[in-house]
Amino acid sequence: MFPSTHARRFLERCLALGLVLFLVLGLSLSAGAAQSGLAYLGEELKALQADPFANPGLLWVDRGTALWQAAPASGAPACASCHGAPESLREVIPTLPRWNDATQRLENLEGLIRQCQSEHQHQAPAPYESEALLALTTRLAHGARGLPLSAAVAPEAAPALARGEAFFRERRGQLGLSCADCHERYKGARLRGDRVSEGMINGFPIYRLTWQTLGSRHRMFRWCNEAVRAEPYPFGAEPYLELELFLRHRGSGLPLETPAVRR
Amino acid sequence: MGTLSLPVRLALPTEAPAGSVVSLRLLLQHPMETGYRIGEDGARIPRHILTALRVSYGGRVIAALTLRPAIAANPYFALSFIAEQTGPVTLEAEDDRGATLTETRTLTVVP
Repeated sequence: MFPSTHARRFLERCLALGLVLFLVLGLSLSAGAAQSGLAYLGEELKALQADPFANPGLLWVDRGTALWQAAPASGAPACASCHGAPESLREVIPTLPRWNDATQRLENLEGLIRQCQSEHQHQAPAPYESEALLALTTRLAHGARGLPLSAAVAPEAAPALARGEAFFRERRGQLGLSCADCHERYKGARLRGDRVSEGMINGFPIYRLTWQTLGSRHRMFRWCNEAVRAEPYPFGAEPYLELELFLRHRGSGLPLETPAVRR
Repeated sequence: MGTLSLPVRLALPTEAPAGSVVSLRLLLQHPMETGYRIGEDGARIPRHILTALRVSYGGRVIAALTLRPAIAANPYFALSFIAEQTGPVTLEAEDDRGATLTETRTLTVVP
């Protein structure tokens, strides 16, 4: 039995449509827009991150809110006394790290908080990865969630951006892997029981199950460096600020999700 | 006895119809260090865990838990009970270093 012309035409249309869909899907997946690490999570962790009560990162948000209002022992004003609500800084968060004309250096959120603590609150700045600094960072970034990471880079920061990209593509460590090896070439591939994400930084600080606690972007950089058996740089080091700038630029458009939950 | 300085998140409705099932959710911040891990300096990281958790409603204990090292950091608990009469819902927790935590909320039962 031969199909009628109607049926044949229908089949041809289906095939054509299928081909178009296939191409569109394929292109969007390969060339595709940047995807947050959220897209690489299982359903349970996606649900945990979205849960407005049980997302463990919210413990640090609560603490950050309290710290924001607490006056420091030095008698200097609390964060809230000058800035008002943490949300008043929400427009700044997606543009960090950014170029500081006065110091001729990059500054990130942790650096800005620490600078404020020492200059305006006259107290020793909270060390990197201390509970206090994590809480304040998380609270501020949480206030900006939903805003897209900015692509803006000051002309003065162009060399830093280029160095950040070079860092991203440079092979390092005993394993001789670059960031790009895993997070571009093998994104979505299986690594042990895990899926390799694109290395986006729009959810930081993240609650990472591996750490059983919250961690900053620089902690993640250090962790990744150690994972390829390279000597990590100190927190807040110039190469990490440059990498952070590059990653912010690379992931521009992704909405902030702090506090994100990751494996 | 100190007081846990670490935050707790507690979700409980303020009002519930008599006879209805009320759910209580808790998220405690605690390292729940098992005592089995070795730190970067090669020394054993001392155990630091929550050991007990008690929830009482209207003066009656409705849940009493003994916690062990196998529980992950920042533990989350959810339990449900039947709203009978207006009364305090109290959460008590203690860890193995003598820190304690007490949180009380009032549940108003409406007919």
